[in-house]
Amino acid sequence: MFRTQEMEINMGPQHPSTHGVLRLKLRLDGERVIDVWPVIGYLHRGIEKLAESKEFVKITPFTDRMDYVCAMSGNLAYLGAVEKLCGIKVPEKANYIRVIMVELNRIASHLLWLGTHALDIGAMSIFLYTFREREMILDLFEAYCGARLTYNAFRISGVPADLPPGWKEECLGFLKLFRQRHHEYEQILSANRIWLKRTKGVGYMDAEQCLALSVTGPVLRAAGVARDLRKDEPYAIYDQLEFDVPVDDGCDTYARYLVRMAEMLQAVRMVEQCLEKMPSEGPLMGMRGRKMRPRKDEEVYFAIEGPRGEQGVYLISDGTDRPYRCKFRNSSFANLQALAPMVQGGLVADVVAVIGTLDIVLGDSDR
Amino acid sequence: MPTDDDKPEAGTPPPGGAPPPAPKPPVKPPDPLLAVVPCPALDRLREMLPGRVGDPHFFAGEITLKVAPDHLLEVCRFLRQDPACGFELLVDLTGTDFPDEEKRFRVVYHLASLRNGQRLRLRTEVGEGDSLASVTPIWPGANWFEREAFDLLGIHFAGHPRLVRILMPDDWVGHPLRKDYPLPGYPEHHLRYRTADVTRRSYVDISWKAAGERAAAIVKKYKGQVGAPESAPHVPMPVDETSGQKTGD
Amino acid sequence: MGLIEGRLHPGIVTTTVDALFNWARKNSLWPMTFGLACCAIEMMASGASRFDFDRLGVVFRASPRQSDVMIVSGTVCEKMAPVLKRLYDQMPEPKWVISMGICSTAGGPFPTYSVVQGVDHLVPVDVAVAGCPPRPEALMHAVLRLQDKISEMTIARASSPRPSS
Repeated sequence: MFRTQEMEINMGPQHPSTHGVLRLKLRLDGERVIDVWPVIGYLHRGIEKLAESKEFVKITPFTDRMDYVCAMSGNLAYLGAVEKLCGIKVPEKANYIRVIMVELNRIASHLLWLGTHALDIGAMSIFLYTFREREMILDLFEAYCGARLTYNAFRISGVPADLPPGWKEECLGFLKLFRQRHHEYEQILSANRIWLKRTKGVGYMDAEQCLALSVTGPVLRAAGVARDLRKDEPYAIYDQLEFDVPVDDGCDTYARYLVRMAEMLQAVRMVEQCLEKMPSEGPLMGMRGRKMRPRKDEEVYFAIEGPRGEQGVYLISDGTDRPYRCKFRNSSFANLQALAPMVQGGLVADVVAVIGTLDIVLGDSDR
Repeated sequence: MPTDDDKPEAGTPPPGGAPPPAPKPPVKPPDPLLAVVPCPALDRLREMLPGRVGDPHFFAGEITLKVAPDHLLEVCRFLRQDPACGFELLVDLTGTDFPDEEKRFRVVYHLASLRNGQRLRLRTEVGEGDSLASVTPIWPGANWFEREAFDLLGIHFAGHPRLVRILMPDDWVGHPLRKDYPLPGYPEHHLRYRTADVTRRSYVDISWKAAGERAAAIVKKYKGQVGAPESAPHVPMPVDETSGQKTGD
Repeated sequence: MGLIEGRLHPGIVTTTVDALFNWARKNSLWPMTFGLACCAIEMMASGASRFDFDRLGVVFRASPRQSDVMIVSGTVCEKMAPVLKRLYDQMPEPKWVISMGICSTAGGPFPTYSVVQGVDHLVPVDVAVAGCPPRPEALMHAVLRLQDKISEMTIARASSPRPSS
């Protein structure tokens, strides 16, 4: 009787809710999505090629510019790989500072995710609230390293500086405030009928599919798999901290929202413990000089748990102070593969919800 | 190994005199980076598929296993399906260009097992023009990783569902991550998008200093006319002063 | 300040067409949300709570047809270049371009095969902001400078003058 014709729609690369320069070729049957073909690479800047011509020390600033929402994690993953390759030990105090920074940045990253995700779904005010708290974290970073977004805050074998005077008190004050504000967000969203309608059952993906598609991070944890590299393969000082791995088995957008919200509170816990336990004295750098001579023809892979999932760096050395190959295994690239199975069969209006829930950063996926 | 810049180069002969007696080589402790780590999956693999994999290489707690391209699919399927191995997550797949070697590309597969908590790296080599079996039937997530390796290095994966470029534009020439591809690329290929009729705007000086000077000029121009006290009597301006007054600014 | 000044009813203001147009244009600069890379996050922060660009009349619009400023915020890659050019062509005149950050101004730290070494190869740039990424204050400075520039305009000329003019 009534026949609908399939329609091809182009979404992006300039689209306010694709979180950057993602382009989707959608095939629609009315309001239903039949198929989607993501096109990425609009932000491919050739960082891996560039890294092959730079010394190990000089690559760190580029790691800021890949996952620019959580630059501290990028720094830590890269430096961890170099330290593993060269067998460098990091002093304890430096590790504490690194963990404080990375966890604060995880909160900032999740705040940005929450604000933009809610904005895409239609909740404008939460965007303004989360950015208010995010600016406070950026102030803390600025006091420590002078930058708001691209920090380059760590060095190979340690950190360049101690926390400035008064930083600890300011940070504790922020954490106290943030617990209240976090409660406010939950009050606004968690039982909001519109929010529930837009997120429950949307973008379903179970654990088996997640693993098959190399999806990691909160998306995998919201499918019931408690995989967190901070617990499974502890790096830095995570084995000395007490924290839980939030898991939910809802497998949908709402479950991912719950997992990320819980992760923010866990990050607050970790920063508080670090500030309490951190030794007041101690070296900050594990080595002098800046020339690296790694062993020839060796390869290492080092991964940390970034806010988006497993963030790894694969290095091949040729015995010089430059890497022969530097591959960044970024979680956005792998997680973006899950977009197509998540939106197929769903409504076209839910595509933005799924993009938001994957929490992609295009600089991270395109490198 | 980290070394200081100012350390003298070891091994230079001292000037003059007879060569000193060869110092006894100190007994070096084994490098902790090269320590052998236990891996049950590896033992199981070597037991069940003898001859399919080479000797493992240990570095920094990681295990690298060389696999011949012909046996790759068989080994991967075993590692995925065998309960003692159980590598259900393909973390990463990437290639590297070694132009001087006989088989040009080295492809590595980083595998992780969640239930057994172990990691393994498979390494294989493939020449230019040859193709490697795609592992997408075993791990569907290899799809984009293989597309990326094809895009940036030109490695062909047989059996891939749709092997097209992913990061570079579809009509790009060359594979940028190859070692013989120059870092700035080939600008003659790039320039095709640029249009010749782009004209630069006329740049007015908009520095603070110039802005301040402009503001001072405006104040000077309207001095006595702007900001007059309200109580001052309103005097209509004479008509003949309007001649020669400019518009705008 | 002229022929009819003071001769009319006190509620009537006289001005020039240029001044009126420039006043209207410079106080309602609507940029397109054109986030490319890291600078886009700072651009979002500029529009959000603390910096609040709305008070300058800077309201972000999602469509090029409704906007008159393009803030190129981030690295322009070869794959993005034709898209950027097309979006610029879709914007109505008069239009201005702010090149935010060193990447879009001159390629920045990426002298690589896939990066356009400066967006002024593609579109004419009015204000370039230094920084990697620039702070929101720097972007605000750029908007204020662009307002100064607009106040110099006259409708007697086209808004995109040829180099000879």
